[in-house]
This record gives sequence, C-alpha cells and structure tokens, in this order.
Amino acid sequence: MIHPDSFYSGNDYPQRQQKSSMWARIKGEIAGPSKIFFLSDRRSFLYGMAASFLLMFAAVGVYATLRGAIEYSQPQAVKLDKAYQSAIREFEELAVQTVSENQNSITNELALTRKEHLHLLDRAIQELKQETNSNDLSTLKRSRLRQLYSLKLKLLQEMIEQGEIEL
Amino acid sequence: MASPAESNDELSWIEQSKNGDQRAFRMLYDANVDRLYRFMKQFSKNNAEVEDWIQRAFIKAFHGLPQFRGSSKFSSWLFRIALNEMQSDRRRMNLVSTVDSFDETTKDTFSEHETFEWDATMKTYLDNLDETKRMVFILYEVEGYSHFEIASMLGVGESTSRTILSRTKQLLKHQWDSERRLK
Repeated sequence: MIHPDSFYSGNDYPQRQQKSSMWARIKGEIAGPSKIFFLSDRRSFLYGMAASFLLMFAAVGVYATLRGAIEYSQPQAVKLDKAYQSAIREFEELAVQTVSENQNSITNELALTRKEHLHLLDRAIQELKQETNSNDLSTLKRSRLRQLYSLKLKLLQEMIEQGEIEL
Repeated sequence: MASPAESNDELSWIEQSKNGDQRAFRMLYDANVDRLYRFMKQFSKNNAEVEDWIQRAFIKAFHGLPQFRGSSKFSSWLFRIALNEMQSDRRRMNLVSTVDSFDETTKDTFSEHETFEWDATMKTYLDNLDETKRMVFILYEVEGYSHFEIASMLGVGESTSRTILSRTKQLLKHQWDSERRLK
C-alpha cells in the first residue's frame, strides 16, 4: 500500500475556489424542480395579489374621480332636480309609514297625520319658492313644484273624502 | 480512509440526502471531493475536464441515491460513477482504453507474493501506461480498494483486476530495474 501523500502532489488536489464553484453547479442541478416551482408559484401568487389590490384601488380611484367629475359637470337644474326628488321621496315614504303605523288606530289620528303631512307639503313648496325667483323658474323646478302641488291635491282630496275638511 | 465515526456520519448523510436534504449532500461532497478529484486528476491534465467529471458524478449520485442500497461504500459507488463519466467521454472521443483488450492469459505477471516497493520515480512510468492499468494500480495500491470493489467499479471480473494489477507492477518494476542498470 502506497501512502497517498507520497503518491499525489499538491497539484492533484482541488483548490478551495474550485471546490466552491463545483458545488455551486452541483447545487444548481440537484435543486428539486418542485421546490423551484413552489417558490415561483408563491412569488407569482404574491405578485398577483399585489397587482389585484393595486388594480382594485386604481378602479375605486377612477370611479370616484369620474363620479365627481360627472356630478360637477351636471347643470344646477339637474342637481336641484335630484335634491327635490329626494325630498319628495322621503316625504312620501314618511307619509306611507305614518298612515301604516296608524292604520289600526282611530280615525282622528289619521286625520291628524294627514294634516301634518299637508303642513310639511306646504313648507316644502314654500321653501322651493323661496330658493328660486318666481320669474325665473326652470323647467325642472316647475316640474318639481307641480309634483308637490299634485301631492298636496291628492292629500286634500283624501281629506275631503274622509270628511276632514269642511267644504 | 474514513474512520468508523465518519462512516456513521456518512450513513446518516446518505439517508438525509435520499430525502432531498442538500445540506447533508454537501457534507457527503466535502467528505469525498478531495479523494475523488485527486484520483480523477491522474487521467487528465485539464482541470476543467476533471471538474466536469466530478460535477457530473455528484449530480448523478444525488439523483441515484434512492437506488443506492449501501451494499458498497458510498465512495466506491461514487468512483464508479465518475469513471463511467470519464469513459463515456473517452468513447465519444475514441480515446478509450478498454479493459476487454487486456489479455488475461499473459504469463508475464508480477506474483502477489513478490515484494513490490514503490519509488516516486515510478510515477513517470505509471503515467505512460494505459488508463486501465493506472486505474487498477491507483485504486488498489493508493486508494485502498479491494479487488472486489475495483472489479465492481470497472465492470470486470475480480480475477481480471488482480491480473491487471500484477501486470502493472511487473511493468513498473521492469522499467525501474532497467533504469537502474543503465545508471
């Protein structure tokens, strides 16, 4: 048996750098594909999630901007129309609710409610008149006034039919 | 040679490597790379070529570990893979020195009972012999593998390994004696 030290020379051994570079290539080759795919998938998933959030925020921002721009660009008449429609809707809902709540109560309570509604209707009409110049009413405003008057008329008709108003 | 303690470690690293543990395989690499490199370096002056054999051997060993049953030493299994890589390169370049070409019936062999004394000058003679003789000689005389292990590495019979070694020793001694007579 020959001792390796007396057979091999120093040049027969790999340098530290050689060993490192060989290991680097080996490591690159033995890395399991499933692990790589898993890491790749996880990275892609995170990127996807981040992209989704960014898109969502961007969409919300665009929507809010467009909505603001559209509302801002609406004419004053349209804005007022929306405000009046909203006021009438709330008024009508309130009226129905009030009637519904008092359906089983005595007739006097219904009469009182209708009088109260009539009072609210008058006030809404007055407010609309105050906000606008009587000589400069737009088509929409006139339409809203007509709706208010129509509601008032219906209410008055009911009150007359129920005998709450003496003719 | 690995001590018993190192062997136990090696068994543990092999088992962990089978489960894909790269850190355990790194330990196997560190424990075997020097020995494998110095041996393979005897068959090429080109460092890049030797590195390539080593890398391919370790990569194939890692992927082949599930089939490694431990019936042989990890190092001898690794040496066999590296030698196969070298020989496949040699075949591609038509430079192969096949073991089959060796004549087992040759009478001019060195008896196992005769004493053989190594001299550093013999390294030059060895370098001039064919690769198979060098492989068997180094694996047996320097790396300490048995004929059974060498036969397994080279894909030959155990008796062939013995004959090649005897023949190689005979050639080395003959050349050394001739040189001495000239002096």
